[in-house]
Amino acid sequence: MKNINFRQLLYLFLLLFSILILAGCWNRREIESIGFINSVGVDRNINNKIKLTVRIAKPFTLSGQQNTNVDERSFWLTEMTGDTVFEAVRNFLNHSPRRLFWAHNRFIIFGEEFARQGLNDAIDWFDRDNESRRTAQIAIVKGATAAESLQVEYELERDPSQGEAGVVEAAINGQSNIVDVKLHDFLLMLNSEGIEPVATRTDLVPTPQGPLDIRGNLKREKIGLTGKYIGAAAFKEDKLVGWLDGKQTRGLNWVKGKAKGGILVINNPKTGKRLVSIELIRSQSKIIPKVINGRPSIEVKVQAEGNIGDIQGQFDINLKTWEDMEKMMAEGIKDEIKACLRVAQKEFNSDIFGFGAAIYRNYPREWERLKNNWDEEFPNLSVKISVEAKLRRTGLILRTLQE
Amino acid sequence: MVIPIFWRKLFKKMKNSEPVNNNNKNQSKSSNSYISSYLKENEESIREAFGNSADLVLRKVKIGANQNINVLIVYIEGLIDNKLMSKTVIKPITTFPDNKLKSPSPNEIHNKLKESQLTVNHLTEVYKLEDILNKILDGYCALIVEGTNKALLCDVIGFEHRPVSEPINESAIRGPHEGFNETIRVNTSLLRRRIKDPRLTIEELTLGKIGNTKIDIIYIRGLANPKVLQEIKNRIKKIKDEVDSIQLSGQLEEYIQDAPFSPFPTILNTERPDRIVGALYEGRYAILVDGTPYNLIVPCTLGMFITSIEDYTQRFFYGSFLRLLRWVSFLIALTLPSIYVAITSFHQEMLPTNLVLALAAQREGVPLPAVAEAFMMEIVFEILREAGIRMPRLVGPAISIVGVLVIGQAAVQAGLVSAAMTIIVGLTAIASFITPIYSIGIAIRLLRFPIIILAGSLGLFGISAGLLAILIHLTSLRSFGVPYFEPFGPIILSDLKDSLIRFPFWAYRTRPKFTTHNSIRQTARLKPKPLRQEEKEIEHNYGDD
Repeated sequence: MKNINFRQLLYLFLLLFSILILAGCWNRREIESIGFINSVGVDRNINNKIKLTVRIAKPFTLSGQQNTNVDERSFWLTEMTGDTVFEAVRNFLNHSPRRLFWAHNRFIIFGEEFARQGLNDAIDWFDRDNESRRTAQIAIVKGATAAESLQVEYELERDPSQGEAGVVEAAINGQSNIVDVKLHDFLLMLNSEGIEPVATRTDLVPTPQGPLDIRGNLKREKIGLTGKYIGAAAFKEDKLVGWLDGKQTRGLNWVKGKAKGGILVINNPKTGKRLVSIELIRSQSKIIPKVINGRPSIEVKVQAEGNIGDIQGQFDINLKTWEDMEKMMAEGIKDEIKACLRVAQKEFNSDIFGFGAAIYRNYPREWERLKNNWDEEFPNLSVKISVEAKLRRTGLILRTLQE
Repeated sequence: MVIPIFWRKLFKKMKNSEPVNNNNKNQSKSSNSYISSYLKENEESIREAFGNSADLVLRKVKIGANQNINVLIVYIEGLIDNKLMSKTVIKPITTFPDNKLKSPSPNEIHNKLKESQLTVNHLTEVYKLEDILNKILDGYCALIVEGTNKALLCDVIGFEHRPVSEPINESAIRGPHEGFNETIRVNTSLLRRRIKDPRLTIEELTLGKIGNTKIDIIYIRGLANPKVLQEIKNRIKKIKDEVDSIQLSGQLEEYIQDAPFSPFPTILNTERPDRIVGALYEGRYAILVDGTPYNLIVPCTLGMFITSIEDYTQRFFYGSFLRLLRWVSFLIALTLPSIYVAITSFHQEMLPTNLVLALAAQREGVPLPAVAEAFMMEIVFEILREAGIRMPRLVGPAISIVGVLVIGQAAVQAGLVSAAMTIIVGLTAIASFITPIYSIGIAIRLLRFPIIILAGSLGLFGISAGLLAILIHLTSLRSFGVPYFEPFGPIILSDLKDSLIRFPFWAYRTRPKFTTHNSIRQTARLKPKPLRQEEKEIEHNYGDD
């Protein structure tokens, strides 16, 4: 300390202090001065400009304080156009009192028309911008524009984005008949060789007005549309080529090893008329590519496990019926995979399974030759499906009920 | 020099118009001299030295065959035990058996008194007036037989003091409930009772030009590092004859601490004898200051401030849990308001969506930016805390009502302050009181403010810069040669056993590395477990004997 004199210390202090002042609190924005975007919809308007529709949270309607007005909508729906996405985003500043904040955006929704023309024009900004995150769900609206889709409301949630996120999460874990595609996944599929992207599919369902409340005078918001998440949107490159239904989508998930749950209904092994439902609990899959004499072929091995969830009719559960049920379960799974394979190969000609990528990983030299005419190869690709299904438990009871 | 002149005026009687010599203590020329054989002279000198103070008692008693020999009794009222005095001093003198000695000489009377007559426990013979003056200030009573030039000092000390009671600010559930009081001899007795070993050494020093405060340096010979003792003595010697007096241990702490400008205390103060005993067993030194219940431990580390006796009295799982809890609260108290400020004004993307919306809803309509709000609320809390300690007991409820209702509820309802901020400030306040030693809590509370400003201007970057600066400072500190941030910086593996968590007692093989050279504490095989076969046989043989 002795060789630093007071003057030097003073200068040091002044320099350090100037950091605080000169920095000018760069990028400081109070939390209440921010418009948190929940969801964004991307369409084109009639002038072929990009139209962004955003749902901005109104935090003051969500707080638990007494003066909250429950009837007030918890979001502000507004739209803006521009030649590019970024221009449209900036144009919001001309009429939004709060600066928009993208880090909490959960959904990027595209209208069907926009998706058929290709997502590339819009998706770049969402990846490039430092606020926007790759965790936003990519969803395509079937038969409508994104702007319409943003008007959906859910009975159980005040905030529709919360509702959408809830439906997606429940369907992924409990049904496996939708695909879970975040911006990150979409970009990976888009930019990898030998795989075509899929995206979450959403349908708009008009909700019929329910009967009047018993009291008759209860003020009630009219809910016109609600969202339904089932199936998937299949792409070729960045362009939408078609829709998968729920069964086909689960077939896709079986192949990709992403089926986490769901109900598979098989015939009662005794009568064949009545039914047994099996709750799927876990699955694994393996795509084994082979190139023999330059001809590629694919073997898909799926291992699935399930529990008996529900039995109609009466039969003895013994080793034989158990094996019969496992066989039928395997058949059911194979059915779903085949359904998906058929549309992908024959209708869309889009390798949404990533068979090409599997060949690329195992036979990189052959792929160099194959990739140029993969579009011709893929529809005729021979795919062998083998399913190993196991039943594990029977629920709380073992025997069937007496008839 | 202004001070000596002021000084001289104040004590001119004592000084006897001699030029003041700063290095001399309070003895005047007369008190430096020897005891005179004329009682009158002695009486005058003593009276003069005390400026004829009201509580000075000079009593003459006549004894001897013809009641012709005067004995002067000198003491200070209030410092002696009256009953003891009359029983052990006055009574033996007044019933002096004069018939056995025919016309005894004063020296014979003196010797008789000294050797058999006086029934006091502790008796010394002195020849200097200075010794009389010093000792009667401690509560001794002096006897001078006329015609002798020596005096007898009898220990009849007895003055009012607070009894040994429960420590007020460092309480424990299962630990001992004895705390220090303001009397140094009582305090040393508390330590002696816990360490029954002659190696427990108490060195006494007297400090101050005027006050003559007693300071005891206590250590266990063979455990404590003698170099540290030398260092303590050197630092005390420097101020010994320079300061007026040392009244508080805090005062001594400021004179001898290593880093005078650091917010962190490098000397630990405690009112718990058990804490000092624990430190002595680790080879540390205790410095007791007369007149204050807070005594000092050197050298100390940061970890000792986060340690409570409770960590050791409860089983080690719970002790470790308490330790972790305190370290976490230490960090909460230091950084929570700044993290809140940084996140709400810079890093909104760091929180889950629902939480960020809830916070935004809270802040809706709050007029101040988060950093100003945090700063204001922290200051308000500091004011409330200070008022709570300083106010008269009877107005206590009023302060709580004002604090809770006006500042808490009303401010939130009026929308001046967000509810989240009151939660943050409240949590921070509670966390800052969890430290067992109050002085480290003060350090945290002071450091909180610069970090809030850093967070408000630079965000999390500012917080990490601030914490880094604190870390660098902590690792640079030394307390009497021992690294303050030990065992974390430098990392001492064996000392980590008693840091963030507490190992069971049988796992402590070594004493702290830096405080003692006598490092092996106990053997390694002390973990309780069933006896092995060989050991059982030995046990059995013992039983036969």
